[in-house]
Amino acid sequence: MDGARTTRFAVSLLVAAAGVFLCSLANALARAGEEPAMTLYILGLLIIGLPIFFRLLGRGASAGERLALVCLLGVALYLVKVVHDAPSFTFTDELIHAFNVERIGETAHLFHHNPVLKVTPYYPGLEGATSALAKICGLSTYTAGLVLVGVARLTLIAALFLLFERVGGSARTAGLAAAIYTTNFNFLFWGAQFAYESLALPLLVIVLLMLVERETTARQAIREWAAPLTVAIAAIVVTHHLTSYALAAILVALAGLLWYFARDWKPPNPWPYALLTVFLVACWLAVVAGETFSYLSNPLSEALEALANTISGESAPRGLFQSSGAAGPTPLGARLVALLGVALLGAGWVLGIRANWRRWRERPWPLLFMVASLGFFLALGLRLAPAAWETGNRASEFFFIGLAFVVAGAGLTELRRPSPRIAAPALTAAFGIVLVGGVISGWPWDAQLAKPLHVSAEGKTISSPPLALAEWARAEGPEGKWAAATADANLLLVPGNRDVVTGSNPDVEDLLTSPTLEAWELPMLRQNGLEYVVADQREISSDGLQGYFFPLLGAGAYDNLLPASAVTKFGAIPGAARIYDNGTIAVYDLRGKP
Amino acid sequence: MRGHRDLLAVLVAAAACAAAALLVPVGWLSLLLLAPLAFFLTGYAIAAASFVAAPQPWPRALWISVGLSLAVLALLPLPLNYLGGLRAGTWALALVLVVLVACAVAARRRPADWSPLAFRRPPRPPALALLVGLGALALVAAAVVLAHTTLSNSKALGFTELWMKPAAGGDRVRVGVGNEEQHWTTFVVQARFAGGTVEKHILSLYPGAKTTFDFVVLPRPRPGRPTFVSIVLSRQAEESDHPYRRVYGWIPAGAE
Repeated sequence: MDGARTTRFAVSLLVAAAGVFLCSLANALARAGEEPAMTLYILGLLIIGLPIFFRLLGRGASAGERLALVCLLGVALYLVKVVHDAPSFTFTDELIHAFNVERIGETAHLFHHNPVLKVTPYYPGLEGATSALAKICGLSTYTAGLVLVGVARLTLIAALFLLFERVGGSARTAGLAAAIYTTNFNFLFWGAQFAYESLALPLLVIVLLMLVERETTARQAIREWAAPLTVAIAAIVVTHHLTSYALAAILVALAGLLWYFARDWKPPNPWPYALLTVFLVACWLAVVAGETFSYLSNPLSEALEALANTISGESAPRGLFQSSGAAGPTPLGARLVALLGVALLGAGWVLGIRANWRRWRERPWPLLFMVASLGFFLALGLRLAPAAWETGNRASEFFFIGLAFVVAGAGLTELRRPSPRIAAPALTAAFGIVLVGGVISGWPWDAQLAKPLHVSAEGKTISSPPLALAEWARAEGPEGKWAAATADANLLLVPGNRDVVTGSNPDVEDLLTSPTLEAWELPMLRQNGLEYVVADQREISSDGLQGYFFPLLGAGAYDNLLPASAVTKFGAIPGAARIYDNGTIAVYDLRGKP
Repeated sequence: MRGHRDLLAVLVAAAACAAAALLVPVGWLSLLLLAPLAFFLTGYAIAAASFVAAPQPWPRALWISVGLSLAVLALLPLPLNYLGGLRAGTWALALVLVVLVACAVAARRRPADWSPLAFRRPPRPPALALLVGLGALALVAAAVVLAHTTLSNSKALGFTELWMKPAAGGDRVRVGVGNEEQHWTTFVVQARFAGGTVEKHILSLYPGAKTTFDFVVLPRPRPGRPTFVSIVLSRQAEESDHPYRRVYGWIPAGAE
C-alpha cells in the first residue's frame, strides 16, 4: 500500500475501532441495566461494516488494501463478541470446552471424561492447542482460548479472500465475497465462540485455499502440496467431527467435478486427498471417537424425522425467531430486518447465479460454490422443522462460502449497470441490512447484549446466583457426582470443576422440573450414582445461553419460577440433607443418613 | 543450514521465542514472545520444507504458514500425550523441534542455486497514518477495558448464600455465609440441634464477602448415632419466623 492508501486504511481502522467501542459501550449499558443499548449496538455494527464494504466496492483499492480491509472487518466483528462476555466464557459450548482444557492442564494428558458433552474430549485439537498457550505463557483458559480463536478467525477471513481471489480472478470480487461471508448468521457469535468448529472451519478454508493454489502449480511441483495438505486435513479430523465430514464431502464433490470437466483422474484432481480424509475420519472414529456415532446419529435422525413430519403436515412448522431456550420474543422491526436480509441474499443469489453460470459454468470451483449456495437456501428450509433447526443452522456456515462468492458476483454485475453512483450506496445499504439481519437471525434477540454476571456493589463485586453456586462448589463443595440443569451444570464444570450430569440421558431435565417426587426419580438417581442434586427454581436454568445471570428487577425476574415443591421435594428423600441454599438454588446431599 | 539465511533465522527465532516465553513470568508478555513461534514459524518451516520448486508468493505464503501453524498446534497434543505430557517445557520443545526438523528437510531439499522469492519490504507508513492507527488502538483498548469493568446495576437482585458441612473432628458443623446482596448486611444464624439446643451467631458482611464459622454439635455425635442439625439464617433488619435461608443435615454427614 502506498502512503495515501495506508492513511486511508488507518482511517478505516479508526472508524472500525469506534464501532467496536460503541458495541462495548452498548454491552456495558446493558450490564448496568441502562438504555438505549440495542440502538448503540446496531449502530456500532454498521459503523464497522458499512465503510469497509463501501471501500471494497470501489475500484480504487489495491489487492493488499482489500485483504487488509476484510481482515479488519473479521477482527472487528470478533472483538464485538469479545466485549460481549469478557472476562469469562458465557456460551454453552465454551464452558464445556474450557472444562476439557482445564482437565488437560491438571493432568497434562488428553481424553478425559466430559460429563456434559461426552464426545468433546475425543476431538482435542482446540483444547490441546489452547493448552499450549495456557501452559507456556501461564495464561487462563479464557485468555488463551480468546487469542487462539482470534487468530483462527483472522486466518479464516484472510484465507477466504485468497481463495475467492484465485477462483474469481479478481481481488475486488474476493473482497466483496469475504465481506459478504461475515454476514452469515453464525459469524458474529456462534462461529466465534470457544468451540472446536471455530478452529476447524478456518483449517477447512486453508485446505481449500491450498487445493486451489495446487491447481496453478506446475505439474512437476504438484507433489509439494502433499505434506501441507496432509497436516491440515489431519488437524481438522482431530479437531471437529462435522467439519471433517464436510471436508470429505467437499473433496469428493470437487474430485468428481474436476473429473467431469477434464475426464482425467491425474493431478490436480484432489481424489487422493478425498480418500485420505475419508480414511483418517474412519480411523479416528474406529480408534478414538466411536461415541460420535450416537452423538450425531440421534440429532440427525430426529432432524430428518422432524423434516418429514413438517412436510407431511403431521407436525406444525417451527415459527421463525423461536428459540429452544427461554429467549424473549424478537421485536417486529428486527424480524423484518432479518427477513429483508434473507430476501436480499435471495435476490443477490438469483442475479449472481445467472452471472456466474454464464461466465463459469465449465469451471469446477465456481460450480461447486454455486451448488453450495443453493444448499444454503435448502438449509434455510430446515429451520422450519423444530428438531432440524440446529442442523440447518450449522450447515449454513459451510454453504455460505459458496453463497458469498455467488452474491459478490451479483454485486459486481449491478455496479456495471449505468448508474454506479447509485448502485454503490444502495449495495452498501443492502450489505448493512444483510449484516444486521444475519446477526438477528443467528442469535436470540435478548442475548445479543451482555447481561450482568458480576455486579459492583458498594465498591465490591457480587456474583449471580448460579455463578455463586459454582464458586462455592469449587471452594467448599463436596467431590462426587452431581445433577443439575444445563446452565448450572455448565458453570459447575467451569469454574465449579465438578463431575456433573445434565440433560435428558439420564433424565435430569425432568427430575429437576417435576413438582413431586415421581416413582422413577429415586431409582434413576441411585442407578446413575448421583449424590448431589442442584435444585434450581428458575426455569431459565435449563437455558444454556441465558441461565447464568442476575435476575433483574422489573424484567420479570421471578416470573418464571418452578413450583417451590420442585426444589423442596428432595428434602423428603429419607436421609437427604440440604447443604447449600441461595434462595432460588439449593443443593441436596442424597448420600443418606450415615 | 549454511547458505539458507531464512531457515537459520527461523530456527534461531524459534528457539529464542520458546526460551523467552518460558522465562518471562508476565502472561501477556510471554504470549507476545510466543506468538511468532506458535502462529507462524512452525507453519513457515513446514512450507519451506515442502515448497522448494514452487515457493508460494506473499501474502499466500503468510496465511498458509499461519494456517499450518494452527494445524500443528492442533496435532502436536497427540504425540505429546504419549511423550512426556502436555507441559510447558514439552510444548516449547516440541514446537522448536518441528521447526528444526522442517528446516533441516528444507535445507536438504533445496538445490544449491535456490533463492527465495523476493519479499518487497512494505513502505514506511506516513506519520499521520501511524497517529490514526494509535488512536484506533487506544479505542479498542478502551473497549476491552470497559468490557472487563464490573459495573453497578441497581436492578440486579442480590441474595445470600448459606451452606454447611462437617468440620474437622466430627463434633462440629462448619457454617458458611456469603453476602451477595447489594449492601452491607447483618445476619443472624441459628443452629438447632436434634436435642433441642439452639446456638446463635450474629455477623455482618460487605457485599461479595464470605465467611465460615463452627458450631459445636450438641449432643456430640457418636459412632452410628449422627446428630441432626438445622441452620437457619435471617437478615437482622427483618428477623422473623420465616427463615431467609435454611440448610440441614447430619453430623457427620453421608459417607464422610
